[in-house]
Amino acid sequence: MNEKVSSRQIIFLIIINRITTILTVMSTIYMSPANQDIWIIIILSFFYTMLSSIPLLYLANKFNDFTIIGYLEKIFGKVLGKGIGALYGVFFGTIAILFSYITIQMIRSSFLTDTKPGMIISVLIVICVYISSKGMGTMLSSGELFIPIILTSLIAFAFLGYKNIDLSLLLPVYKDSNFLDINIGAIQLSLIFIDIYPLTVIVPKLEDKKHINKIFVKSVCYSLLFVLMVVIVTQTGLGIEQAKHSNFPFLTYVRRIKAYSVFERIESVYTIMWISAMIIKITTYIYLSYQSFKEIFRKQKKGISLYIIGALVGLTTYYLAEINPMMVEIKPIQLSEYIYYFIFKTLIPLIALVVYLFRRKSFEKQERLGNFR
Amino acid sequence: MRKLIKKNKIIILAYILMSSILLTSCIGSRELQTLAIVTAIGLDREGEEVLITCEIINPTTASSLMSSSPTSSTNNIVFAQGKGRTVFEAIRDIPLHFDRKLFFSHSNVLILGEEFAKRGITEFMDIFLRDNEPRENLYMVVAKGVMAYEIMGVRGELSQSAGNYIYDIIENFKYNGKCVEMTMSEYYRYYYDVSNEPVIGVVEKIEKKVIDEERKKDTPTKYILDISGGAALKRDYLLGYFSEDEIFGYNFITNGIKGGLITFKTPKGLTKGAAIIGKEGEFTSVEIFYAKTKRNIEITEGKILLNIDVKLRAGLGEESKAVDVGNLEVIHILEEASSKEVKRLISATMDKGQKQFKQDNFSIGEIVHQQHPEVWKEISKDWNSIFPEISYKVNVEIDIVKTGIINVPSNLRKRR
Amino acid sequence: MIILISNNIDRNREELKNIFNNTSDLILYEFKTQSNHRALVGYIDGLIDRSGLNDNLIKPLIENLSSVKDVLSTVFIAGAKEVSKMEEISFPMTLGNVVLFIEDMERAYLFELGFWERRTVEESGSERVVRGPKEGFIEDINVNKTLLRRIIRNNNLVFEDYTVGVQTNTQISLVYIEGIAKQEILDELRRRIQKITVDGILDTAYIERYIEDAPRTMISTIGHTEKPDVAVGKILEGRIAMLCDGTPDVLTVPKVFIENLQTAEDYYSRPQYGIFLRILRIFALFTSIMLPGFFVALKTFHQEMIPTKLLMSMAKNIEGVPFTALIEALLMILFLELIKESGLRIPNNIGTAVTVVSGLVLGQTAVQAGLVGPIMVIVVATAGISEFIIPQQREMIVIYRLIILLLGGFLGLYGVACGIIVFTVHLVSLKSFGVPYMYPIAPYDREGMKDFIFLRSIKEMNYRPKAMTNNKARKRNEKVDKEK
Repeated sequence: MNEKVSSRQIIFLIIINRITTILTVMSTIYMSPANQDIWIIIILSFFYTMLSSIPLLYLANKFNDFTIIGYLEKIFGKVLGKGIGALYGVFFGTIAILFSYITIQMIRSSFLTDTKPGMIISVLIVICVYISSKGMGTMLSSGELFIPIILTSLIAFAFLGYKNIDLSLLLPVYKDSNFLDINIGAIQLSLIFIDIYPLTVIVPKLEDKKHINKIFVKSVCYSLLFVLMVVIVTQTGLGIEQAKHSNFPFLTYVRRIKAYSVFERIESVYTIMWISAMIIKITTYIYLSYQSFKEIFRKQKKGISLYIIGALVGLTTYYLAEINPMMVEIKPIQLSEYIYYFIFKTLIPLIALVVYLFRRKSFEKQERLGNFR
Repeated sequence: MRKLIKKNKIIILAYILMSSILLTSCIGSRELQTLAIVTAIGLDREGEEVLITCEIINPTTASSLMSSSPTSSTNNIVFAQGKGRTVFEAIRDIPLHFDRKLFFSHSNVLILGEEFAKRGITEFMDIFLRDNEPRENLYMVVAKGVMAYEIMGVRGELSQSAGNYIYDIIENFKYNGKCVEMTMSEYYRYYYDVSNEPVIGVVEKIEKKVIDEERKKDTPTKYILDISGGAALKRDYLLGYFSEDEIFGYNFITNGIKGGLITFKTPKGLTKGAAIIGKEGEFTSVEIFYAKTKRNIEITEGKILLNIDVKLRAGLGEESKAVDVGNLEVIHILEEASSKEVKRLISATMDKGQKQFKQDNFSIGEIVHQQHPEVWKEISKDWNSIFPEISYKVNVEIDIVKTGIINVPSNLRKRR
Repeated sequence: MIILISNNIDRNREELKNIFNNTSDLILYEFKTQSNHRALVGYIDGLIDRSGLNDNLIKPLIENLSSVKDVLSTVFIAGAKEVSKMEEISFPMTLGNVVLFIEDMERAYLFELGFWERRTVEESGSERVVRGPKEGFIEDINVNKTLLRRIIRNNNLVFEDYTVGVQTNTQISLVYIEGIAKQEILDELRRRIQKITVDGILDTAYIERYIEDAPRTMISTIGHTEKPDVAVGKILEGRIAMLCDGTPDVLTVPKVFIENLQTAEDYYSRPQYGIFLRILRIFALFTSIMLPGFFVALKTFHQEMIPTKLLMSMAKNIEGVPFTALIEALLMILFLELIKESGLRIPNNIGTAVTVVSGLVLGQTAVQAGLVGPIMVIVVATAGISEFIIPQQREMIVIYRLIILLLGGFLGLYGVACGIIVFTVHLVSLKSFGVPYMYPIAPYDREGMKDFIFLRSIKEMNYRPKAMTNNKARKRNEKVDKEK
């Protein structure tokens, strides 16, 4: 695996991960202030995203030969570092479970209504495990193949429905909500975008390591443009309130497209694109979880933890989908979930940064003695 | 040895997977031959129960595409009815006495009986939003004076089924702005606005004489459907109807005109000294190509003034009075006259909305919200009592850009 | 036991007959030279040039030979070899050499006089062009080498010969331009060839099986061609070609996915037409693999995604069809494959009649009898025709089409989408001799993309593809210095 990963591939991966966070269940519509000013929060969240990712970016720049688990171990010492690394592994696993659950629910409600979810889940997990087993290089290259197509088709869908949107629904701008609401909404939005992690794990294999910050900024900008487009089109197409009532707003919007008497009922194409995007996301998180466990338990049989993680994700999703439908909890995201994201995204790296700054002297001494690891 | 075990494992896994797919029936597919494709849905109330009528295409009759001539296809449509306390229960009542399962994704029209509409529709609309089969593009129409299934029995002229008949007439909206095209998703887009009371389409059965000599002996009259006008709802029950001209004005107010015809009396005095051949008529028709309405709210000293600015681009369609339309001044006079007519239409509708229905059917409240949000915060609760008091000013600007391929009508001789 | 050549001609003759197992086409001709020595000439009949043998070898020996040591100067043939062991004779004789024994000499001489029946160089049957050279390779490796030499007139064009095949001893030859080809690929290729142990090589496909990167996949990672200009085009980009005696197919290594879409004619026509053809081919690839599965998925699971008017006519047309959409599609694909395969084997005379019957019967009558719906026939026929547009990957297309059809029939559009994803990831993960298979799309290379769909004209393609060429020779249109 001596392949170098180009920055273009990483940018694509991060963009698609960020978009799929809100593509299916558009949780941004429920964030405060939950009215027609959502697009302002999206723009403002750029600022907060940068702010909350500073610790991770700084650490990634400093330790640009290690993944996040690697340098956590170095900073916190062996035992605590491995423990936190395992926590991160579990965190990535839960994200994978969450998104596979969302995928299954949408497929079950909209397309394959009578198929048993066990079948859908098993096919999904088998594919994700297969892609992860081929390694990072393959995953990113196939991403490079798919993602431009997915993004182009998203733009096409957004514009084909131009007859159904009514931009006047976005007025009056900024009059119904106050500054505090908008800032809270922007913070909430930036918290649920936890997609800086692919960057942190892929850093060792990156081609030009000086451009980590540029990569992140670029991907955040582009992805926010797409998110903006998708959210505005959905809100103005379905109506502000009706979009909140709908479980899968963008799908409803695509179902209504009827343009030029040729593009009618083209949601079949949208289905394929959407499934590809969700599979990319779930695969990314399964792979990240696998990488973190691989680094923690250094010697193990080739790839066995991948199958374990895949099986766990599959079984948990099945349990959630069949036995204990918690659909109602996906919607307005609870405070506990925000805190959960916050801990892993900002708090732990912040603590790591502070510890690193304190122990910097001892690190430099180790470097001079050539006593790395 | 290891390779053999590994290969065996793969084979066993594949076998388990394949047999679980092929042997059990967990596939969840639907065969096209087992579906009944519904093209129109009608909802009625019978007593306390809901009666749903579905119009289904019968595929066994025309086996090739050639033989689908309109008058001979007497039985390419079947109907199914079901009763229940809720709509879903009524739908599930149907398979008890109908051969196939209903498939709603291709229905285009939802017809609400008048009785049903008068008693409130929101509680029964949930299944159309929640289930993934019915599309949100359904056109909603109210059956005027009759039950929904009486409308559905009427055949179209050239279309295959009544569902398509109504759908096709509503699609003709761009030729004649005197009806309402409101789909369910549009209805719900504006539904949650505090001020807005929706207006949906209306459909009526009209008797008509049969022209075809062959058929006159059997059936001297037949029914056709007419969708001119609109139905005004108060929240979710039917309040009253707009007539044809009032709906025309309504479409002007809500910026919904895609085309139409304005017919007005040609102003007198233009034919002085003209060489007239034959009789001179009264009316001029002007065809609308493009219309845009801008609405502005001005609030002065606690009084709300609504400015309606309509801009039209039209072409001269028909001139029956002997007027020399090759003359630019005459065109200007005609433009004036047509704007007066549009003003009249708009005023008539606004008056009906304000005085008779006493509610805001035109989303004027939204305009106040968008343009004066602070004022809106205070008055939004009482909007329905404020709306009848607001004053309005209509301003219409028409540009006639074409006169067709002749300039002067045939009953006028052009001077040298 | 090493058998030496003896003085005695008779013993040599017995030995030679023994080595060749008394085969009937071993001709041994004894004559007396002018110096009164007995001489024995042995050759395999049919492999040599008889008149050259008579005029240039036998005649001078009979007339002019003065002493035994002057054989080489008497004979009018260039390139003689002296051998002293019997086993050094047998293999060259199978290649068309003539052996000369002389009495009292403990050595024998081998002369190259090979000449045999060969097919004339004509237009290749499977790769036809409207404009451009029409020569095709033939089964003789020397003629093929000549065909390549005549196009690349460069001292840096190198042929490397190997002999492969325990029983057949087939001669294969690597062809490349020194300085342009990548050294790592060359080394790897040589390594793999030397590891081949096989009974016989009948076609370059055998070599392909032994040296390819991923033997279990259905996608071929080594290209092949039958036309010299195509092979030269690839050699000029840094690839290595492999000729094999006895077959006109020439392998080219490494291969990337976009080569499936390229034909020689794209470059000989106007670039805009080339773009059109490329787009058509990509469309054909997608259609052929995906269309039956997509259609079956829509019809079985997602009837709401079919436009209303189409659904009405479909519903009308399939009343009375007893099968589900999946079975219909499988049936039609079966018919299609039967027609294709029998079309290959039918002798020409009954060919046309059978084609008509099969088309009528299996197509139209099946529809009228109510076995299948007409739309399914159209879908499968389109998919079947499209597969011939990309001839190099026909095997892959047929199998994948079946897989995606089954997936679509069982899991709907979700299955089709998953099938496409797995297929694409599989394609991306393949490597051909170290070059990623989806180059230049996946590891993105701007120069390589100029040859992909939006084809530029030859004038604008200034750089060779990065992954396959020596790094020093990336720019085209320049002379290459050899690395020392």
